[in-house]
Amino acid sequence: MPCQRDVIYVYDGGLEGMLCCIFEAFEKKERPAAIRPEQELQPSLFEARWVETDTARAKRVAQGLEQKVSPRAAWVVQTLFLTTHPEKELLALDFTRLAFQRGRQVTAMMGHPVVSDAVLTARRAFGEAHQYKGLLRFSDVGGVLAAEIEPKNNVLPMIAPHFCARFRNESFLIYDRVHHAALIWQDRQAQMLRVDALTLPPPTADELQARRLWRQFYKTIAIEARINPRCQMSNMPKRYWNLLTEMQDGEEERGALAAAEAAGAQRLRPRPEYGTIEAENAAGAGETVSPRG
Amino acid sequence: MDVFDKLTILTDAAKYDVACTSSGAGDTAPAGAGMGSTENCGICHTWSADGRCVSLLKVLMTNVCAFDCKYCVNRRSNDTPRAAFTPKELADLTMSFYRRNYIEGLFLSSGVQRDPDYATEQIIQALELLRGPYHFTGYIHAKAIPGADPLLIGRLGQLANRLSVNIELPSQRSLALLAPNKTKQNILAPMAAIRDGITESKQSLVKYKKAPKFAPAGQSTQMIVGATLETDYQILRLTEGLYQKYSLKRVFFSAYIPVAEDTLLPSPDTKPPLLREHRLYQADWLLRYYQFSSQEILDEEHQDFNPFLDPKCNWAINHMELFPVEVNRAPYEMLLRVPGIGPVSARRIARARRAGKLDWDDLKRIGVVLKRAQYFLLCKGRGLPGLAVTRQNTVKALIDGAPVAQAEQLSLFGTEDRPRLAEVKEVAAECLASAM
Repeated sequence: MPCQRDVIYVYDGGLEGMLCCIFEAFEKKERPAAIRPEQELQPSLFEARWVETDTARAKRVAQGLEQKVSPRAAWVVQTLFLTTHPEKELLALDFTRLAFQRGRQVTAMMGHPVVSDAVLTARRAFGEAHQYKGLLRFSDVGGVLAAEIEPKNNVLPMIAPHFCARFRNESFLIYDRVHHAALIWQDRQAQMLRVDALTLPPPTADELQARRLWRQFYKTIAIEARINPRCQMSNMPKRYWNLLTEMQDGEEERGALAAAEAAGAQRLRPRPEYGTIEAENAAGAGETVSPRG
Repeated sequence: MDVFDKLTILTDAAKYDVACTSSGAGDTAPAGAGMGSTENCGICHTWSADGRCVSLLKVLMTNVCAFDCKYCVNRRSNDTPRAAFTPKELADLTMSFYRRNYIEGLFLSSGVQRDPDYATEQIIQALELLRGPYHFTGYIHAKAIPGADPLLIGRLGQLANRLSVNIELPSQRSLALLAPNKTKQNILAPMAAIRDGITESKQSLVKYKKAPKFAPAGQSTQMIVGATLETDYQILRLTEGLYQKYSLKRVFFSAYIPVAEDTLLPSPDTKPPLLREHRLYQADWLLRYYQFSSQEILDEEHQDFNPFLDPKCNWAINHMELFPVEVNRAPYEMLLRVPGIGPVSARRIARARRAGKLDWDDLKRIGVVLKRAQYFLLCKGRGLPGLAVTRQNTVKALIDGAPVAQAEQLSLFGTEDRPRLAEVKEVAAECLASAM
């Protein structure tokens, strides 16, 4: 049993950093009181210890889980990192320790509090990512597709392979308003950037026409004799609605379009650039994602 | 007429088609030109106001129809606006929606313009445009029109992921009555042809990697419930037969919504039999995922579903001698028969009990919902502590609240002395328990 220490591990906020914290805890045979990314560190009575990110060490943890335990256990730890669980790092550490003790059966031990907490948290995040595969809406902005999302978990890395494979010959951008991250796919290359704010240019006439058609389809496809708002809401919770094209009435857009037309048709011409991106060289910058093979 | 109006008319005409699934096509991520991929589990893109999932752009190629099926909005004799997409309009619309991630693919059906061959050719033209010049590699579900040339249906199968032929009504007699232009023979013939095409394609795919694929996501069908007099038992037997004989992926049921006045049809103010449709789907799931046979669900004496109990609970109540079962020992098949336990929970139990004996707390932790299951289970030989298992409260826990509430609304009591929902439930439980 590792001894409990009054120390807080601090890491750079990336997945590799978290895996290095797990390595550190194994190496020192201890369990820290907490593990925190440096961005979220708050003053406390405990001693804070900086854990340096070392790719080789992170790889040893990831590979160890994958090969000595099971791919599923490795998936749980990696997905945990993307969740909003308040103690996700510590949970990942406890789960990893258990995984190396018990081997591949660990993910089946759902009766164990650590395992059920870890697996259910990861599964929920996976579920949200799956929802976003359907509920994300792109707008055509001068030939480039742009979408915004507001997920609870950091789903972007999970949905990236899906969208990169599906829209392989397009250029697109997905901006996560909550986690201030953006996925950019261009020339069959993916990039994850930290983006603090994003303003999209007003939609073109073509884009508005597509939205209008979609809203009409959405309205027409419902059968009046079977209207069932509760069923609709339980399948599609309201928190998704404010970014869904079909749940906006489109009045505002039409007004904006009319105003733009009055001001001169020039503004409606497709523009080569898409919005303003304030990219920052922070954690996760330049990470490449490969399409699902 | 512009695309907006056409879309409105042709969506309105297609909305009574039930299927909108995009599952079963395998996980594909084509690498070449174009756009689109499929996911085996299917992806829902939105839910319409009636709570149904929208995953495909569901439209008709045209609602011009030479047939005169009495239950159908597009019948020849109906006075309704008519429209037709050109193949290019439809392909452009599909690409525009798909690119914005509004949809997972296309579900294309058509009225019988001129004759079945001509209508099928129109569908093929649109799909060829999508699969050819537009390089669309997403999901396509196409309807095969009864009576079309087998060669045309063969071509359709190469273009689409899934094909379906609507069986429309559950018996030959009803077909003759309400759909004079359709016969059992010309519905089942294309169904058999599609089944054979799929089998053949699967066999040649084993031998040659690049053999052409034929409807890789299989075929489905749908029928209207409540327009004619068949019993639930007859419908369920037919469904089971279709799964066995034609290897269908799905049979869909559609509660009849009155769209026309006719002496042969239920009156126009009939409510759609939604509960009946729901029970049929529940029974359909029992056939496909719970290893039930239609004989176990209904039989000659019990031809209709119990409105207050779902078919699985109904079976359990009539077979109380088999319960309770021990969670740590019961075979997987028996776990599946416990009310409240489905394939997911049963699998979780089967996996978790390998790592150690399960107790009641463990069941909760692995995510088994005990609301109904608690009356039918033992953990390490013990029932749930503090739970009295009697027939009365078992039945009470199993009763489906929705139909009880409906019955209450319809009751003859005045508003003041109308019994409370809980009391109605109590009475219903007593009745059911005494009938056991």
